[in-house]
Amino acid sequence: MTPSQVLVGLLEAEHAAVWAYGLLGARLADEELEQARAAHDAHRRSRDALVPLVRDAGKEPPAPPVAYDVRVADRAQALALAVDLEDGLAVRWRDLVGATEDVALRRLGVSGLTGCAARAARWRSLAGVRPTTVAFPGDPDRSARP
Amino acid sequence: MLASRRQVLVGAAVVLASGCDPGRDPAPPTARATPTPTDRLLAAAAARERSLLAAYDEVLARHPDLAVRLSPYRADHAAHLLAVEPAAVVSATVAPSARRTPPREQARLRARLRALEEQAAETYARAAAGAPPGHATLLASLAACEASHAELL
Repeated sequence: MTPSQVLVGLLEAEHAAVWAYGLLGARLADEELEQARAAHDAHRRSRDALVPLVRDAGKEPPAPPVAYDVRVADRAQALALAVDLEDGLAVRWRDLVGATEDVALRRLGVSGLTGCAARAARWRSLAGVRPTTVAFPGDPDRSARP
Repeated sequence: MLASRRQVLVGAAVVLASGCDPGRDPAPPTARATPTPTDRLLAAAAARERSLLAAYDEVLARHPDLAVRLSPYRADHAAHLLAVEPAAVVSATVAPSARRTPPREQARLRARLRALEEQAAETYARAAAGAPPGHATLLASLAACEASHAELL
């Protein structure tokens, strides 16, 4: 994939994450709600940073869809969705690192991947999922333990 | 007779030892080429993972009750070491025990490991920025994993 394709895919995924954290926050309380708010802010910042980069890469930044077909019935589903969101975004941020030799984009990719990995670990911890960390965030094939 | 046998054994040991040392291995001339930047990158990562494993092992040897919490992180480091040095041998982890480490001591030990993980994450992140593409993604994953350990420690 070219860097511009990865950037467009990332922006679409960050739009989805911003929307989803708005949704799942309604099912959480206390420490978990704080974590959802912090994650929401982090993904908004990532989204805003990606828009000019997509333009610089010669592409039209995609607008977010009006809504997504996602339902969150309770706390358990909210936590599971948060883990999935962060794990999925980790793959895309890692793809950016592999798709470019531009140092600034690489740094952004590593930073995006790191943020997703830390949040995914925190969500797994809150959800009682063990182990809480994966050895190779963004690389599900390598992370799969025998 | 005994002395000469010992000399033979010592001599054999020296030969074996030098055979294990890649710097002095006289066998394949192609394998002795100057290390590439990628070789150095992977060797540095292997050294870093060994030192993180040693830090966890030091804590676990004296505080086996922390194994439930720390062993998964240690397992990640073992996987990292094998990713950057497939021939590496990683020792088994310590079994949990019923002994209780006081909370304040636990906090101190966690803070120490957290500092090491943060340092490793920063080093890998810097290395990932300038590495060849295939290795950049691996180093980025290592940075992210160490950061996730720091997050939870």
